[in-house]
Amino acid sequence: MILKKIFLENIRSYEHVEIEFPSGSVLLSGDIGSGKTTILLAVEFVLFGLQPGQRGSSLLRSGKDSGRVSLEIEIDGKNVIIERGLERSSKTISQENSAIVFNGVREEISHSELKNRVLKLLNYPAEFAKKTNLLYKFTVYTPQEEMKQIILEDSQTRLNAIRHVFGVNKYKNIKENIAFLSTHLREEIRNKEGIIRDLDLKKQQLEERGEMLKVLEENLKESERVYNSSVAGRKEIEIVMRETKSKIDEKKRLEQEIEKVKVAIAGKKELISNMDKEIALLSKEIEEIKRLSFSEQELRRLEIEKRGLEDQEDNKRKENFELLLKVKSLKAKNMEILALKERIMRIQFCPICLQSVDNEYKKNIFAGFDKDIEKNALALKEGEASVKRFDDEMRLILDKRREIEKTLSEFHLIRMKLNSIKDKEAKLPDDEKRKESAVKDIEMLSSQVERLKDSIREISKYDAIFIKIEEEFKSALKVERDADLKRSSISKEIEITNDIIKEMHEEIKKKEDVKSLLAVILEIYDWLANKFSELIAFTERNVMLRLREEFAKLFNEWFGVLVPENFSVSLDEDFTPIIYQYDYELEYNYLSGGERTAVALAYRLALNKTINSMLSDIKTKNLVILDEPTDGFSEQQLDKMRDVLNELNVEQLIIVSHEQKIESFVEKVIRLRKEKGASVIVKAE
Amino acid sequence: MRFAHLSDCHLGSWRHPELQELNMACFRRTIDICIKEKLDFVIIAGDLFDSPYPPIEILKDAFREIRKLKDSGIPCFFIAGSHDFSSSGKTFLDVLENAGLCRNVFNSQIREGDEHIYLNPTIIGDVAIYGYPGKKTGLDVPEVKKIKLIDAPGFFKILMLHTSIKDAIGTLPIDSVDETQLPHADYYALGHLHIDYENKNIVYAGPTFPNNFEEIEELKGGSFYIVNTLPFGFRKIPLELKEVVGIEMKITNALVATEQVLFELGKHELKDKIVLLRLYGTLEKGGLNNIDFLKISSYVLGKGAYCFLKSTSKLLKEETEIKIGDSGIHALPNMEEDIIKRYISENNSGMNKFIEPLIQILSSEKKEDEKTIAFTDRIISESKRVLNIDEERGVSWGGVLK
Repeated sequence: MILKKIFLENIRSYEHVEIEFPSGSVLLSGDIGSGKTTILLAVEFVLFGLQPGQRGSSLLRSGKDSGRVSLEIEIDGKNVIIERGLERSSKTISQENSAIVFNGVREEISHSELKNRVLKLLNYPAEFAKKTNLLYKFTVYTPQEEMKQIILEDSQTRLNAIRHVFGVNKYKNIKENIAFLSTHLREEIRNKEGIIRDLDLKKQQLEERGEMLKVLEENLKESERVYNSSVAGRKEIEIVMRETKSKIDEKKRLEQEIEKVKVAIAGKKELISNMDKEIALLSKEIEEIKRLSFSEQELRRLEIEKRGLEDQEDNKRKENFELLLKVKSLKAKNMEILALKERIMRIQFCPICLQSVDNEYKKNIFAGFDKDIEKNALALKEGEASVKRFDDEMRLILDKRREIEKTLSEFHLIRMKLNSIKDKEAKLPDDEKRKESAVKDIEMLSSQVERLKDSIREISKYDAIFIKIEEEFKSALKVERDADLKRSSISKEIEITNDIIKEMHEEIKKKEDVKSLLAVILEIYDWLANKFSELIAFTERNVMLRLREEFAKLFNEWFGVLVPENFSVSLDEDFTPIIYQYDYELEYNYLSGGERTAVALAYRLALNKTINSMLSDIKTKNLVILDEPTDGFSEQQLDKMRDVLNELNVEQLIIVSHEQKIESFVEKVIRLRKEKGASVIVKAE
Repeated sequence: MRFAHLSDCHLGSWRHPELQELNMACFRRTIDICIKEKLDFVIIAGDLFDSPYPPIEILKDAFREIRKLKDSGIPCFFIAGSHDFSSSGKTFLDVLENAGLCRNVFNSQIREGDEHIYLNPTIIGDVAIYGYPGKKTGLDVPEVKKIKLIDAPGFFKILMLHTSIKDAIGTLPIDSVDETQLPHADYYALGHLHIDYENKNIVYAGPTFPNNFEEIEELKGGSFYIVNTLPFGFRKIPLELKEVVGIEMKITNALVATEQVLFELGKHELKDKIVLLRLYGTLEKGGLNNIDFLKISSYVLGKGAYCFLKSTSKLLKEETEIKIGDSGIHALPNMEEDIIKRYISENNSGMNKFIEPLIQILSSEKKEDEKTIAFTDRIISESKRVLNIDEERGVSWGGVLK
């Protein structure tokens, strides 16, 4: 990167200034406070924005609300313009209006984006996006007050910074991360060791279980045998028992038989008693019938009388019917006449001849009508009296017929009884016969009962036998069940044992797996902790050694140029400079101001050169900015600066110094002066 | 007349405060002796100061002492030496002279067509003092060869030079002046060479205090001379202030060096001594940082030593275990690659295949917005994946051991 041109507006002591930088060496010259350092700060600001901890107020010109820096640079032959502004708000000053012009295209982007773009352009590690840009600070521009800081920094901080700058910080990271990983693996190892600790025990237990299984299988065989024999025993008993049982059943059957016979006997006895009762009843009935009187002639006479009465009845009814019809027609005739009379009353003109019908005419007609009605009423009265007579006559006939009928039915009953006596008399000997046969039956059945009782007596011994056998059976059954129980409990146990063995196998398999993995992890752990860590340490050591050798050589060379010959410097493992006077170590504090500056400058330039030759792709290696590098230098040391600057041999060297003498060492001088509180460039004479 | 001849005080040369103080103390003692001896004057043959611009505190002390001479009525004459000389004339010696505390006797004239340098005398009583200053890197030698003295008949002539004479340098390969070719003087008051040298009337007074460690060990102290003009005679006044204990040890194992050094130190009486410890050798084990200099220093100072200095510049770390290339710095990745390649070729192991991916993973740094726990989890899980021991992703470690 070569700086071409910078434009500052309201930055610190500047109001509005544009400065062009030539390549080669250029001195920013001017009195203290003339604005030299501001230019360097502005370059840093426009490239990387405000550094952590840097306030906008340290750059923005006091009393102004906004400021701006625009920097034109050349990278790999291409021109790039970078712009960054500062805006004052009520409380803070923020970075605004960031832009980049690349390949002639202007892009307005956020200030952090701009920083990333610049880092990328310069090929700086992206890690500097969010922290102080040590790479730039150590290799391009170290603010003057920070130069000695690098030396005075405690060795660990400096070493860290240098690791960063050299990019060997990664080894530190690796070491730290190895520690994380190792801790994790150690934990894992401990866990896995915990898991496999009882592996041998488990194996032994598995073996024991196997032995146990064998014993169980033996036991099972034995108990099977016992069971089978107990089943056979039980079955034998069962047969005997079944036989005995059939005897007992036979006995029961016989007993039931007896009961039946007894029932039959009782039936016979009942029959006999019934026969006795029936015979007595029949005899009695026969005697009673024999005492009844009955005449066939009387019966016939009564029947004829009854038939005569019935004929009378029929005739009477026919007469009455005709009479009723006659009465009814008389009533109807009268009704018709009355209705005609009514109609004529209302007529005024004849409906046929249309002549008027007068009341006289009507009266004549009505008189005829009234005569008819009177005649009919007389006939009616006569008819009604005849109907009433008929009713009385009818009642007398009916009473008489009923009486005859009653007597008739009594006659019929007696004749029926007389007719049944023969049957009864015939039935008596039958009954006697039946009675006799029943008596015989009873005798026979009684003897049968006796026979059955004998048979029962014969087989009742089996009751006792059965009870005994039943006992035997029960105990046999119990033995069998016990054997079965034992057999199945052993089977169950075998089953469980088999399950357990299977589980144990699985568990052991898992543990064996863990064991193999553990072996691998142990090997890796060991490798990490030893070989790999050694390799990393070795790599780092060698890288650092190489860097340090190179660095120390350059450091001593630069330093040697700037201080008397009885001084020399070297670097210890932490890159801490060791200063020797006459070969004996000397503390930095014992050095004079100029010597201190020399140490810092030599350190800085050596670092610069080392980094630039190592990180060959960093785009700032051709630019070095030195801010008051000769602070405290003696006249002689100042003379030496010429050699130093010549040896630096960079494409662009920008020096800020108030030292007049430096002017003769550089190719171009930019003079700055303060006029009315603002920095201006003094025109070349 | 009696006068003191001193040279090479090199005030301000020591940066170690104790030695600086000793240096100044010797100078003070010299002045005190001069006053006590009631000498007539003092001459300083160059290098009063170690540089043209000594630090302020040195100037303060030096001015105070020289002022004592003036207060005692003892004039002081000097020439600039190779260290406090300045071609531009800007040197604090001028301040001293202008303050009226002493006088530069260098007073020369050049005559046209004559290459000689004519020196004018500075007269004090019956003594004429001539002087020619020292220059850097022996530039004075050819000039001294051209010196002629403007005669001062009847005076006791002192020629003060800050240069090397042939007889004194021995076999040293430096330019020198043949003393026999020097213009005649009664007493040659020489400075520049820090040696013990007296030959008839030619004397190197020696430094008032040794100017480096070799001198400390060799000269054991400083010196100056008191010279009597009539009858002519001189004597050396030694300025031995502190004894020196110099210990040199060869160290190969930095890990046990601390004990070794302490053991060695235990053999010596250290009280009020300047203790110089010089370690040399090639370290086979450990580095410089493994030597506990703080402990050693505490031990030495605890034994009452006046001061303790150490030198380790000849104590080297064993050569790089692996030489990468021949010279110059390689880009870091190449260097790393070279080292790992070499390592793998020398350490055959099934694990070697993990080296590269593991370095890749483990070199990563916690991101800005990443929680530590998330970061370590990430590192661990990625590493385990690479190492094939990631149980969650399925273990394929069977092959690792083969």
